Amino acid sequence: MLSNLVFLLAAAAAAPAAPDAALTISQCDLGDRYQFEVASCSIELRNNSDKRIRVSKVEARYPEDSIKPDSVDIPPRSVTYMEATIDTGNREGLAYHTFRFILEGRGRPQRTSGVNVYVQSVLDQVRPKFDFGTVHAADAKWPLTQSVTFSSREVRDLRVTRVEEAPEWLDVSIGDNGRKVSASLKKDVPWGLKHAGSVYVKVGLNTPRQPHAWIAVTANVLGDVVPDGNPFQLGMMRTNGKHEFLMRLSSPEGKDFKLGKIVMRGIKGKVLGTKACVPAATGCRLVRLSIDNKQPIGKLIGKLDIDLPELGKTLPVELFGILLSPETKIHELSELQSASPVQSEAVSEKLDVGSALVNAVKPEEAPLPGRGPLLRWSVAHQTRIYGYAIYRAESEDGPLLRVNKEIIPVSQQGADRSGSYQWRDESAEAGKTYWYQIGNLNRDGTREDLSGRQKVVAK
Amino acid sequence: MNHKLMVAALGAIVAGAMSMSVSAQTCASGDGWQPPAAGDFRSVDTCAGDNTGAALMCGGTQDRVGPVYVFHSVFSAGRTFTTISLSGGGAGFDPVMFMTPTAGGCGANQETCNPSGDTGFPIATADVPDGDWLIFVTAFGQNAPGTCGQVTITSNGSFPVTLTNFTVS
Repeated sequence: MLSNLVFLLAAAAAAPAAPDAALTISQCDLGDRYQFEVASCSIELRNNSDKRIRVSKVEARYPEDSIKPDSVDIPPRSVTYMEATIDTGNREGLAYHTFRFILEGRGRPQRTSGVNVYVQSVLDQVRPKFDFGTVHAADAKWPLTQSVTFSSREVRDLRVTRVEEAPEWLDVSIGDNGRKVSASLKKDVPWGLKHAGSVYVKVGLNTPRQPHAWIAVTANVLGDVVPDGNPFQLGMMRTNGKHEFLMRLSSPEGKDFKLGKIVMRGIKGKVLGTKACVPAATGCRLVRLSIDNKQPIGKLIGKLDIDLPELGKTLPVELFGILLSPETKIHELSELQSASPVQSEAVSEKLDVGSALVNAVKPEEAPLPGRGPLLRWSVAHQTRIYGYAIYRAESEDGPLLRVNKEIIPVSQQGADRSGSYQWRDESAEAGKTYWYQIGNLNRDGTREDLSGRQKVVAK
Repeated sequence: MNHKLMVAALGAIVAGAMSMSVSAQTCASGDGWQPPAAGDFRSVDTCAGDNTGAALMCGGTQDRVGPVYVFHSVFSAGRTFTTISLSGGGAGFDPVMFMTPTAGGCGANQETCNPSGDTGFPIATADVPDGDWLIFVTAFGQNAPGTCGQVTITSNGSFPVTLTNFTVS
């Protein structure tokens, strides 16, 4: 995946460090998989030198991935293989699972390779979510309920069979004969933010193709004490500055409250103390924070856990900021000039709107041999498409079900990224009427209908 | 109270004792990078980016082996592009990019360095909330130390996926 150039022909040469030609490590490709699938492939390590090379350790980027053996000796001028195993998990779309190969020798040189995979879901709903929005705990009409209704063009009669994991502050139930999942927020839900990606409900499905699915949960629960921002914004900081902040905590009811221990997590910094608000107000306190310069630059994400002893609660407040070195320039994307003449030509070619669709209509190719309905289609501007799925129904408005087991890979030609395709449905019964529809599976995991339904009587 | 206003009000109290970093907690919109219908691109050399500071970024989850070139862009509601892609690189130099909002809490992207992409994996921007974003471009964390070079960052324009022919026989 990393070796594929996208969109423009990059004419300018990079100025990288010299490649280590002694050892070549291939990537491996697992093709199309479903969520929560565990799969393996072999990574080839080729020693092009006259000396033995030892890989002393291999580290996986994702903790659920692994590789065997975990170390290997590669004799001179020979090839060996390591078996990489990945778990596709809840990802959707193209994914690259990397492994870092640490070599024996001075400075412990490192090399990288990985596993390419396209992850699809049996659910029609991409990245389903229970979104409760902002919840004012004191005024809410409990319980608050959100629902997700599932459908599938991949599996006939797909159903949710069980709830496997859920936060303890959610009541989760399955309804509509396994097609609907509802989640009710309990009144004792902890205050603070709950994010998609970190809080989820895991359910079981009635298909071995994908036995699980995740439903993300998002909510911002406001309680008896509320911060003036959650996440609290630290803004952009430079490592030569001094960064102190005042966070305002207030009671919506105007009641005074006491603050207990306050702990900062995830970001290096200190809680300097608390004080009364200025001007003085009941039900209002200020928390003084400082952020250290000696920590990884870039995005900073952390949390304050604020103990409220009288209320018997902990208020979590997320912290968000960006830390850059003093020398880091920030370039306005809209003001930069386009440079290379070769690249300008490439853009000029792209700008030729008049010819944009011409390339999409290809000369007639010989039809695929075999029996069954033959689908032929052409598409332009396929930049975001990974491949195609063919769906079939047995009535004009009946349910669609995917009939091609393997995704039809995209083929991009010309400046308009066009492609022409043929696919024959050899599973169709002669004399029976079918309706066909094409869908595109995008590189980011989303799916769309490309066509309407076309009727045909199978011969 | 708006955080920026609060900080401004308190600024007088603490002036001279500290410097304060602030940002408005709003999801800004406005004129930003609005590529034409056929797309747009910018070519830069990441060797001209910052090469100082810590060896890790984004809470330590992103290795930072070479200079980092930082773009700023305002994503407005009227934008038409759906992806930002990256090209360039070569043997030993795998450019990567990741976006971070200049302010959090606008409905998404609380994950560290997200969304991200590389030369084979454009960033899909359709679901990216409107607002101010930084786009960091650097070498893949497992390239050799100091790796940098020429890259091109490109929007895809607004040409929609177009079905030009479909028959069943």
